[in-house]
Amino acid sequence: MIKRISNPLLIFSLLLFLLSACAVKKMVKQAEQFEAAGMFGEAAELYYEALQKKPDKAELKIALKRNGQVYYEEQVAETRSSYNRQEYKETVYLYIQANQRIEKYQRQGVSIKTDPAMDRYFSDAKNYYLDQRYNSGLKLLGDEEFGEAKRIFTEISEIDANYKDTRNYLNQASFEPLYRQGNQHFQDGRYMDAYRQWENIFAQDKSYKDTRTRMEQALSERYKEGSLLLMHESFNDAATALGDVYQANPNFKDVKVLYTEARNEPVYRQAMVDLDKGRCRTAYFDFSRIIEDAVVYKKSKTLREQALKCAEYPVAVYSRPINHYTADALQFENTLIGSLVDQQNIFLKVFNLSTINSRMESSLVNSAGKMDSRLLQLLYDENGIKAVLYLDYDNYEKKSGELQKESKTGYERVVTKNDLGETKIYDRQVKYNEYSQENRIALSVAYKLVSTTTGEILLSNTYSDSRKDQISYATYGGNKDQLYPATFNRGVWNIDEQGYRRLQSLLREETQIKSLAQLQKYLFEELTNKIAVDINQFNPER
Amino acid sequence: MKHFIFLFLMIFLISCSSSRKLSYKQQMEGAPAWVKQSPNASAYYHGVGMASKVMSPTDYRELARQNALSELASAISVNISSSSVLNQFEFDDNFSEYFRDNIKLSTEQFLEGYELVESWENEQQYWVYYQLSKSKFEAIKQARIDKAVNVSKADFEKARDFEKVANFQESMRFYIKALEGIKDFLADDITTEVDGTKQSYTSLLIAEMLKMPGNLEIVMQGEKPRYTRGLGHENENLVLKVLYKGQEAVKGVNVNAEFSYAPGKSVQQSSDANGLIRVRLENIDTRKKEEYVKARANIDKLIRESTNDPVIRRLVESITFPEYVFPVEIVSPKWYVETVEKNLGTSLSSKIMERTFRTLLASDGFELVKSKDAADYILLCESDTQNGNEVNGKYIARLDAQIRLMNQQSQVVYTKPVSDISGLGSSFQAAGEDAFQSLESKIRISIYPAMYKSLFK
Repeated sequence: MIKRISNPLLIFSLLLFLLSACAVKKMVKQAEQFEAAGMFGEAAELYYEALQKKPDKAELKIALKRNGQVYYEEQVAETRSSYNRQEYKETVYLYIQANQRIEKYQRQGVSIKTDPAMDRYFSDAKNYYLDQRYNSGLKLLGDEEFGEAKRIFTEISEIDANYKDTRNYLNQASFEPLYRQGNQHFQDGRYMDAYRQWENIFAQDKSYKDTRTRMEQALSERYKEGSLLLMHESFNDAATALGDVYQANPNFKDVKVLYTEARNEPVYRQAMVDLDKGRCRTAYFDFSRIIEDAVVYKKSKTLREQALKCAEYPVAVYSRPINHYTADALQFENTLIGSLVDQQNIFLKVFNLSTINSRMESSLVNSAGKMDSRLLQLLYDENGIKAVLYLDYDNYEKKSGELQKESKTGYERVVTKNDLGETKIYDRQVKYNEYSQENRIALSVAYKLVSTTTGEILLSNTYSDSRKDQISYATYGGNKDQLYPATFNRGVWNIDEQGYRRLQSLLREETQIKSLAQLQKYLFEELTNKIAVDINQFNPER
Repeated sequence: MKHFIFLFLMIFLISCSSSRKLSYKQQMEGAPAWVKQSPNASAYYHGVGMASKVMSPTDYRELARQNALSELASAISVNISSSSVLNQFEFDDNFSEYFRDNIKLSTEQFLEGYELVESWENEQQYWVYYQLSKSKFEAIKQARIDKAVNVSKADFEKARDFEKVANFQESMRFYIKALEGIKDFLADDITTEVDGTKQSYTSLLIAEMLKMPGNLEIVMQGEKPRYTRGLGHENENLVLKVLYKGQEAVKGVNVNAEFSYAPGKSVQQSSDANGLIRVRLENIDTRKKEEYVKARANIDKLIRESTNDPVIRRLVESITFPEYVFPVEIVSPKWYVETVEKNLGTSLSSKIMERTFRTLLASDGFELVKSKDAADYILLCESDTQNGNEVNGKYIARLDAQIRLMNQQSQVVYTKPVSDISGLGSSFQAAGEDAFQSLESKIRISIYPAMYKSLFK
């Protein structure tokens, strides 16, 4: 049977079941020992634990009832004894413990027969004990010992929640220290700390003294602090103060407006300065921040439009032709313009120089690669172009490889089994073809972003890259799976079993090579994207 | 792995198996009849006791003997006589039970004349059987009662003598001693000759003792006292006098005094040679016009000194002494409030500070008067605002104030300068009014409570 148990989960479950059953058995055994030794309380607890694990076991219920009852009688005797010694606190707590036990057992379906005398002892002892504790609590309240008073009234409340005026005094003992701490904070000018103390009380008892009014007063003072700071243009501190009030009550007076002002006014002012000094892009971003935060704040929307207009950055793209590949240069330029537009830079406006001024194309850059500053200025004056993105190509290489074909000798192997189970192999010499081809393209491009007003080279870099694709494959007209390569040695063709896997791989290879046009597209996209990212990240105001 | 599991299961099965036990019937084989059933011979009280040899291997014989004697004592029924102590005091069920338990315990302690009948044991248990002749028990008990009454009567006479000379303390002490003398027979009807006639001794003793508290009286010396609310009463005393039968001053009586205006606080004092008690007053901080001091004799100490017996203590502690209530008149100080409140140099038409102080004082139960001469305290406040800045149509005003409190003798008892309170508004005047609102908050939250505390807490 053991041999058949191979599932680890089943083994684990079985062990768990045995462990549980064994634990209950051990508990019962120990409980029996306790019972024999007259330790009925301990025995009852163990039976109770066992019953929790095996709630349907009738003998456990009986044992719990038997021991629980005997232990209860012992507790009755102990309670009586403490009552007679006039140790009322002990009487009260013995009664409570006994009752808790009874209730606990009751939840497991085991009822213990109670002694009415217990209620009498408890009732009497409770009166004595609580009266004494109540008076102590009152005295402590009078002496403003709130912590100790709270402890006492909490204890009374746990024993008898309706005892005299305990609820009120417990509230007083709990809340008065907070209330006073609030007063002290208020006096020290820590209005929000005061607010929080009173709020804490208010959350628990809405009618405690004048906490609601005081909360308003604390907010009012903090609001005033914030307003004064705002007037003195201490925007950060004002934002902190007004933010405190706003968090506590967003509808407090006009705190929302003032808090918005405290947060946004310094940004607004800085944006105005930036706009004035031509740092339009920075101003645009700041106005955007304000609009995002406040939606409407002063003239932010109009000024942002103004900043955007001013921050626009028209760039004319111009590239030198590539010898023998004029169309390719044009292709690269167009791809670059596409990449620049894809950046979605709201400031960047891209133009093709030939579209703006076709005459200028031939004369903007001399043979030494130097730009004509007069023409640059003209571009700015007549077309508003702020910079020319000039591209210069080098090492352009395009190579379209021929498809190489080689006829090869191989063997087609046929394996058969006869009726006797014997295996027979037939190798038939055959011909198959192997092909190879490679396409390659490479380019190095240097770019310069040149200011039309100053002729300054604002940004420059060179990127080089290449793309190639090559194919190698084999074709065979027969059964490809049975095809083996062959080696020629000393005038004899032999089957090459070791080369089988390589040949099978070649037979499954791709037979279509990527065209040069495809490779060019990938290469141009790669290179233009790098340049576009550079231009996008370029901030003319830095 | 599979072998391991098999081994594991075997260990479980072995460890979970239980051992065999001897049945109860087998254990009790050969036990005599008195073990199986309680003996029943009417001329005797019987006691059978058992102890486990396993549980008490060294002292099981003594334990069994104690159990047997306890059962024997239980068999002696406790009849509480109609003239017993229990029927004269008004006790609840808890005490009645306690009383019975103690009589049983006392019976057990003084058990004499019992004899061992037989013992039996097996491997686990030891059993013993005692008996006591009922007639023998009664004779022994009567001898003990006679002896106890003789001693008690001597103390009873002393108690009477001290009572005649109004010595409450000593009289009470000897009544307690007399009661203690017969403590083992409190459930019995003891008849003996007192004052030349045969009468129930316990009833007489208790009746005379219970008369004592009613004769003790606490009176106040002089007229209804009048106190002014506030601090400064720490050295003042309320003088009470303890009298016996309304005439004789009683010394040494402990009196417990409580104050209606200081819940939970109490003072204990003993009467001096002239029966006087000087109760030191607590701080009087109350809005009421009349409060009271409650006084009651407390003989706990006397009881502790007079007896160690818990039953007698509980009996005597249950004697209630009358409570005397002495009203005291509380006079609240009269206040005069005068404020000068200006906003930018112009007097306010509605005085904020004055209104605030008046509201707070009235809510604390103080009387406000219109004349300085009639006042116990004179509160003077001066305040004015000044222009601050103006920014974007918002105006700031600054407020300074001076608050001074003087007593009748013009002595300054509290002062508070308030400065640099800012107000905001759409004009300097509105800003000044706003600053006054802030001042009002400060008065409510910090200034007034501090001033109040300095005088009354």
